[in-house]
Formats: sequence, structure tokens, C-alpha cells
Amino acid sequence: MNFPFIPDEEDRIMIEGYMEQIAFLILALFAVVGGLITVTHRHPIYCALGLILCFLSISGFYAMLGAPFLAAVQVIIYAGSIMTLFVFVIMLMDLTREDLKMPPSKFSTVVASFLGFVLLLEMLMIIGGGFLTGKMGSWTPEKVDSVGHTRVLAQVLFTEYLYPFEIISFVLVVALVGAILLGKKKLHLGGKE
Amino acid sequence: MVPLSWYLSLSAILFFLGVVGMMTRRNTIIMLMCIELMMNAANLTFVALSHYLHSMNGQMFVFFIVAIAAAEVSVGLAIIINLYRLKASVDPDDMNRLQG
Amino acid sequence: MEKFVWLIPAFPLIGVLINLFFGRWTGKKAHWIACLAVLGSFIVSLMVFSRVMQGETLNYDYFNWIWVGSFHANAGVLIDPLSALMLIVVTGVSFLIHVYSIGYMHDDPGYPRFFLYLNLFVFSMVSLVLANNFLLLYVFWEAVGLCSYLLIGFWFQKKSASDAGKKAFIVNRIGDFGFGLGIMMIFVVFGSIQFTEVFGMASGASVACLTAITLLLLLGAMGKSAQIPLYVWLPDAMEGPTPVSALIHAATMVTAGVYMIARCHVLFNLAPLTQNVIIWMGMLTAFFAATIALVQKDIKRVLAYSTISQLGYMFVGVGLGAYTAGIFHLATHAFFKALLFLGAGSVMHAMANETDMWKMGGLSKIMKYTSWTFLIACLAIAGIPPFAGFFSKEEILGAAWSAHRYEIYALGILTALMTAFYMFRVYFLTFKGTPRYNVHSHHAHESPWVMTFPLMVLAVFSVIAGWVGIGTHGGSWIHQFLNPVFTLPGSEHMAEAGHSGSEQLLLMGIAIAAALAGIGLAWQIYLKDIKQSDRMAAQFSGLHKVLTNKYYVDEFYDAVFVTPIKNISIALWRGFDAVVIDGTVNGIGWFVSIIGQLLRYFQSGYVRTYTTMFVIGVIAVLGFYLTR
Repeated sequence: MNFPFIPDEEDRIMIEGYMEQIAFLILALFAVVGGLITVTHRHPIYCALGLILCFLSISGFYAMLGAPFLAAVQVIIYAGSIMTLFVFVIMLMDLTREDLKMPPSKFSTVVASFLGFVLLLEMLMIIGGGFLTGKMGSWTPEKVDSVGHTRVLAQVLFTEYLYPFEIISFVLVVALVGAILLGKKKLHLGGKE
Repeated sequence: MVPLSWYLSLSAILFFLGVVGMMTRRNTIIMLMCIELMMNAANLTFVALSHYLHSMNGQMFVFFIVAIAAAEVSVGLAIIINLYRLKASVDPDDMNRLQG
Repeated sequence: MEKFVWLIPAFPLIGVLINLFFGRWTGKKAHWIACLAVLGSFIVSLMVFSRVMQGETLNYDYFNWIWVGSFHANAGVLIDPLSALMLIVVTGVSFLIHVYSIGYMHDDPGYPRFFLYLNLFVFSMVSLVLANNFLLLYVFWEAVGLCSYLLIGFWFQKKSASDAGKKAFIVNRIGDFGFGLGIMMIFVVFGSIQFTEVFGMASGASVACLTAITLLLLLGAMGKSAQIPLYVWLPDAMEGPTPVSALIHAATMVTAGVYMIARCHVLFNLAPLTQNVIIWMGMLTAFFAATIALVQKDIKRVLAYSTISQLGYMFVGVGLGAYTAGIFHLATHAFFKALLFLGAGSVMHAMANETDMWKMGGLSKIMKYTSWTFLIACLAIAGIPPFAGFFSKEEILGAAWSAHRYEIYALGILTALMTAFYMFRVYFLTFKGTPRYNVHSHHAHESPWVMTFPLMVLAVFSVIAGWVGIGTHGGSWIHQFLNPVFTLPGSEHMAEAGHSGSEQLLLMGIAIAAALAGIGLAWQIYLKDIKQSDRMAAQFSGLHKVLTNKYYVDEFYDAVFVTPIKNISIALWRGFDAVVIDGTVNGIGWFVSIIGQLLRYFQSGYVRTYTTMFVIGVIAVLGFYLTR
């Protein structure tokens, strides 16, 4: 290695790989910390903020994985609207009330953590054991890049996945109507009375 | 280059956090958030595998899951608001009218 | 033709669905849907009929219905002259009765329900007629039974009505049981239930086999067409609304048995024993029902027994192998019997649901249309030329004569005499003489035009329907039309043309004389001097009592079948059901409740507990795959 470090092509790829790994680790740290805040913090508002942190870092992962459209969707829909809704609802309810301060019992925390760790262990065993295999598709990153990610997504969505797309839009309408009905001041359940 | 197993392990950890939160928290809103967390862990798996397997199907699933999540959250929060009106509480243990 | 045949059952079915799901909205306008549906069926039937007139037939399977191993049942239609004629009669008479019901039922709270049932009946009946295999026939056979039950018990608040409905259903079930067995046996013997296939193979089967099959089928016909010994349900069925009696228990459903025998004539022709049974059963039914009808006081009951009696005639016809004559009588009878019932309904409408003839009289002055049409129907059923009943009845009796069954002929003539007598007894008691009801309290009135119009149409047909049978035997239109059905390959068409012209004239003369004698007797007794009837009743008090009580058949059945079955049932209930069955059931219940008590602890009602259980389950499943 000569001192005035002038990277050649090989070095560049290696360094980019390292950079990516470092970026991954930093993002992963944010995601896990955000998740931990969500799960452990006493106050729902902080939980929501932790979750937003987690979601934002996940959108970073999407960008790293060559899915910029999904990254945008993640930011706009999840971190943007869904979490806004959460924060809204939390603020709608009076949060200083003591019923929110009830801590989980020790015993249940221990049991839950134990079970969770067993589950995590199993999942990691599956990942490490090479259970995950799959058929290679035709959309190589280079090909996607040449067409444009959003365009590829749209092509697949409106050809192969047209019916699910229509159905999902129907589901959204139903959810919309349901949420409005549920959110009305007085619920009219069971007839005209 | 980041190996695939890193992504999968990360999503497993996030999923684990969501599961534990689901089991320990006593606030319906936070439980709903834990569900979102688990869902995102699954999404991450989908996108990662989609990238490494050169297939668009995983990303399609994420797309649909996001839509479903939006629907689920809107209805779920509406239900929680109603329950809060009814019981003045968001503790799921207070919603025990149907308990035998 | 298969392009539009399916419309015939489809129209009433649509009517049923509309009135079923939207009955609350159709309400008092339900009749529009029902009548239009049946009218649509009628028009399509006419189209089918005109095609059949040109010599077209159809045996078409719409789709596979059941397909298990070697067992095939299709949903298909069979159109030939026989079914085309039946379709015309069924849908035509049904339509008129639907129209009549608009007036008759207009105040009833169950108005849409009534039309729903009527449409359901029309749907079942036309499907029965159209069916091209035994299973389909059986299904709709049961369906018309169901409609009959529903309509007899239409006023289910009345105990007698719901009892009558149950009685009809149970008695019919006895017959249908035999019918079902017969169909199973057909499948075992022939390996098929398609009409054409079975009839094609019929001559290959042994006579004993065919006799067993046909006797079983006959059991079904007995129940549905109210023949001895299963006729007891029909008089009680008069508890239903009068249009129902007219439609189901006179014109259409009860003729299903005759239709079925005519449809399976290939099988019946090969089983002489069964044919003999049919002849005697039909003749005895005709005779005994007529004797009972002589003394009944209830106008509808007289008509009910007269229906049984006329059905007996039809059975004699088909039993003799004179299928054309039987079906001919079926068709003419449908018109004049529907007319009689609707006329009776019109009278009841005027008399505030009074059915006792001794409380009527002199109504012809008030109810002109009803009285005239009723008279036409009476003449038709009594067998006075040129009314319809004369030709068809004459043909059956002629068949008996030419088959050298003189004893049957004699009984038939005697029955014809009684028929004329009791029908004119009804006519004179109801419409002629002096009123025996309280003229001031009863405001008798003519019925609205929706009721009289069907009466007039039916009256026209009661006159002209018989004219298709004019001509020497074998040469008339109806014979030419139906003969292709009854001379299919494999069936020996029984010769009906057997007697010369002068003989035929003589037979006609005898029949007319018998009818006139009956009418004269009725006039003598019930119109000229009404006291005479009481004197005669006193003179023959024993016989009169037996007849009034309908030969004690109901009491006999009650003592021999119903009471023992009831007693056995009670014994089984106390001994077996309460101890063994209930013990087992309660034991299982107790066991389940113990398990439930234990499992209850898992149902804590805490969401987190459930989540934990769920996670444990996931862990278990993942662990299973990991360790495998």
C-alpha cells in the first residue's frame, strides 16, 4: 500500500462495500433503538417517535436495496400518515392519566422476554441454517436501473397484479367507510331505535 | 456488499421486539404500534429477498401490505377511540365484557 | 327449442325469488309479479306447443347434476306431445287461478306469501312435467308435495288447517316412500334413470321385476293422486284457501300420478298385474268417493270427493292402456274442476266463507256469472254433450267396454249417474230454490270481475276442450296428437278402436241416459220437494250415517295405524329415548362441560394471554420444522 493512497478500481469496489456495510450497521442501530423505544418507553408519544425513527431507517434500507419507490412510500405513508394518525389519536386521548402508567408485571415481562428470545433464536437458526432458498427472477438490479425502478414496479403492478390492485383499492374504500362510521360521535347499532 | 443474512437477522430482531411488546404492553395503541413494527420487519424481509432474488414479487407484496396496514390502522384506531369513549381507558384488560 | 324451454320454470322461479326477498315491498302488488311470471310461462308453453304440433320433440340435458360412479342424473327436459299438453293445461289453469286469487285473497295479511307459494308450486309442477329422468321427477314430485303442504296450511293459525297440511304431507310421504324405492329399483335393474334409456331397455327385464317396479311407482301415484287407500288427505286439504283447492287439489298436482303412469306407460304395459290393480283401484275409488259425495253437506267436500272420483276414472283409463283417454280426461277435468272450485270460492266469497250448502240457496238471482258458469261445469262433469266431460269420460268407458271389462263399465256408468246426481244436488241446493240463509244479515253479492273473468274463460274451455276428442276412436285430434307418445318403440299400443259405429252410439246413449237420470233425480229430490231428502235420509238412516261418516275410514286408520304408532312412540319415548338416548346425550354434554370447565382457565379474557398462547404456538410450529 503506497502512502498517497490512490485507490484503483478493485479498491473502489471494496471500499464501497465497506461503506455499505457501515451504513447498514448505522441504520440497523437506529432501527433497533427505535424499536426498543417503541416497546419499552412508558409514554406513548415517545413510543410513536421511536417507531417513526425505526420506519425511517427501514426506508433507508429500502433505498439501499434498490427500491427507491418503496422507500418513498415508506416515508410518506408509514412515517408520514400512519404515524401522524397514531400521534393524533394519542394526543386526542388524555395521556397524563395514570392508567397509562401501569407498568407490565415483572413475571409477564420475564415470560414474554423468554418466549421472544426462543422465537428469535429459532428465526436466526432458520436464517443460519440456509432454509431460505428461492428461484432467481429476471429483474437483475442492472436491468431495473436501466428501466427505472418505479416504471418496473408500475409495469408489474398493472399487468400481473391488476386484480389484487383493484381488490386492495376496494378494501381501502371499505376501511375508509368503516373508520368514518366508527369515528362518528354516536354509534347506531341495531336498527332504528 | 451487505450479505442477505444481515437483513434477515435485523428483521428477525425487529420482529422479536414487536412480539415482546405485544405480550408485555398494556396500552392498546402501543400494541397496535407493535403490530406495525412486526409488519415492517416482514416487509424488510420481502424487499431484501426481492433484491437478492432479482424478482419484483416481494416488492409487490410490500406494496399491498402497506395498503392493508393503512386500512388496518385507520379502522383499528377508530375502534380504539370508540373503546376509549366507552371505558375511558385504553387498557385491553378493561375490555372484559365478553369474558366468560 | 332448448333455447327457450328453460324459461317455463324460470319465470315462476324468478317470481318466487322476488316475492321471497322483496315480499315486504311488493306487499299488495305481489300479484303483478306472480301473474306476469305465470303468464310468461304460459306464453312460452304455447310456443313449445306450437312447435310440438309441427312434430318437433326434444330430449335435452342442460347440465350434469349428479355424477357418482355409474350413477348419472342430469337436469334436462323432455318435450313431447304429452308434456306439451300438460304444460298448456298446468300453466293455463294456473294463470287463471292466479288472476282469480287477486280478488279472492285481497284482504289476506299473507298476500305476498300466498303468491310466493303459488309461484313455487307452478315452478315445481312445470319442472315435474318437463323432467327427463326419474330423479328429477321425484325431486319435483316432492316439491309439489311441499307446496301442497304449505298452501293447505296457509292459514296455519287455524289448528284444523295445519293438521290437514300435516296429514297431506304424511300420507303423501307414505306414497313417495314407495315411489322412491321404485326409482332405486329402476336404477338397480336398468342402471340408468333416464326415461328414454329405461324405456328402451324395458322389454328386456323380467315381468316379476317390472311388476314390482310398477307397483312401487303406483304407490307414489296413489298418494299424490289420492286413490284408495291413500285418498284420505284430499278432503281435509279443503282447509286451504279455495284457489289452492282449485289449482293443486283439483286441476294440477293431483293429476301428477296419472301423468307419471302415462309417462312410464312402457313399464306399465309390460306388467299386466299392475294394470289390473290400477283398474280396480281406480274404479273402486271412483265409486266409493262418489257415494260419499252424495251426502256431504260442505260444498267443498263434495267437490273434493268428486275430484277423487274423477281421478279414479283417469286411473281406470290409464290402467286399461287407454292412456290417451286418461290424459284427455285429465285435461278436461282440469278445466271444469277448477271452474267448479272457483265457483264454490266465489259463492263462499259472497256468503262470508259459509260452506254448508243447507245454508245457501237461490243464489242464481244474485250471482249470475257464477251460477251460469257453475252450471256449465256441472253439465261438463255430469257428462252431457257437447260439454267437455262427456267426451273424455265416454272415451274411458268405451275403452273399458272394448277391453271386455263389462264389470268396470257397469260400475263406471253407475258412478257417472251418481256424479250427475251429486253435482246437480250441489247446484240446486246452492243456486236454486229459496234462500235458506238470513237474507237480511247476509249481503250476498256477485264477485269482482277479477274473479268472474277466470270463471268465464274456464267455462268456455269446459265446453270446447272436449271437442278435440270428437271423431271415431283413433281418428280424433287428441289421438292423433298423443299417439306418437304412446306408440314408442318397445311399447305395444293397446287397441282402443274396437267397437263399431252403432255400438259407439249405443254406449253414448247409455252414458247420456245415466247422466240425465242423475240430474232428474237430483231435481226431484232437491228442487221440487226439498223435504224429500230428509225423508230419504231417515229411510236409509244406516247407509246415510255410514256415508256421512265417509265409511269411517279416518276412524279406521286412526285405530289401526295412528293410535298404535302413537302408543309405540310413547313407549319408545319413555323407555328408550328418555333413558338411553337422553342418557348418552346428557353424558356427552356433561363430559364436554367438564372439559370446558378446565379449558375455561385459558380463556382469561386478557389479550396478552392470548398473544402469549399464540407465540407459544408459533414457536412450537417453527420448532417442529427445525427439528424434523
